[in-house]
Amino acid sequence: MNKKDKQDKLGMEIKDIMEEETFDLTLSQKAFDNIIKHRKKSRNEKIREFLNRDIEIPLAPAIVGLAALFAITLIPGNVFKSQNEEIINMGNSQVIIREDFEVSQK
Amino acid sequence: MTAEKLLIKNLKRGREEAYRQLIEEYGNRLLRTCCLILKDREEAEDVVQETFIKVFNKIDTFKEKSGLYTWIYSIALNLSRDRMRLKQDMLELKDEWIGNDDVESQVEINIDRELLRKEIFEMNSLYKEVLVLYYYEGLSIKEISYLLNEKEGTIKSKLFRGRNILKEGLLKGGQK
Repeated sequence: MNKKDKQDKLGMEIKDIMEEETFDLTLSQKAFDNIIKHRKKSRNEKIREFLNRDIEIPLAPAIVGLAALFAITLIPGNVFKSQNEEIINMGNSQVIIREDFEVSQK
Repeated sequence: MTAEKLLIKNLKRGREEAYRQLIEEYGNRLLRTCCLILKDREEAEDVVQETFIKVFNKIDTFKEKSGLYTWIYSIALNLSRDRMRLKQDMLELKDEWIGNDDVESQVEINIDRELLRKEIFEMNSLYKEVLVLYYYEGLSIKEISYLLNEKEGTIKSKLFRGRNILKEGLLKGGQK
């Protein structure tokens, strides 16, 4: 095959027919958008996307969690301690009398 | 830096405008070629989408040994071939062309345009693919050989046979 085949009658007719068949074909907007959606993202975009992403938190566990956090941080530690105790000072010693027994942390 | 090199650099950096530029520059051309080969507009559009997505994913591996469009084109042609294989629209061609193309060019025929159109679109994709690249895209035998990863002799053979199929169809007046 040489260059003149492209210019012979059959070759030119083939080219013309192919051009006629396709001249009005264009990529649809949907396809264009779909391609763009799959493009590789830059580092800045990845960071921005990470910071802007929506997080869905179920309401019930969130309330329970917040209540627990509130209880741990705001309620004083000794609020549930028994107030029913009596301290007797004996010189350098103290005698503590109470109804319940406190277990040592050690 | 050439415009193409700058485009490749921006694609590798993930710049959106570079991606848009690539699709605007090559999208329609690729769609038209794929449509001619696959005979189906929707399928051609799917192939173009797949091609660009593949290009985006593999752009970092592009070594610039060939032109950007050649690289994109080879991806699109491979995807088109996969589709044609699924449709069993590709025959195997074992032997290579060894004939004299002058014999073929000497045949004088009257060309019935509508009949030729019908023959082109009914033709097996194995030959049509080469005719599209040669006549529609205006590529040389060498370029087609590189794109399809086939020997130049095989491409010549396909082109010769493709033209003969069309001529036979025209001579028979559309009767098979």
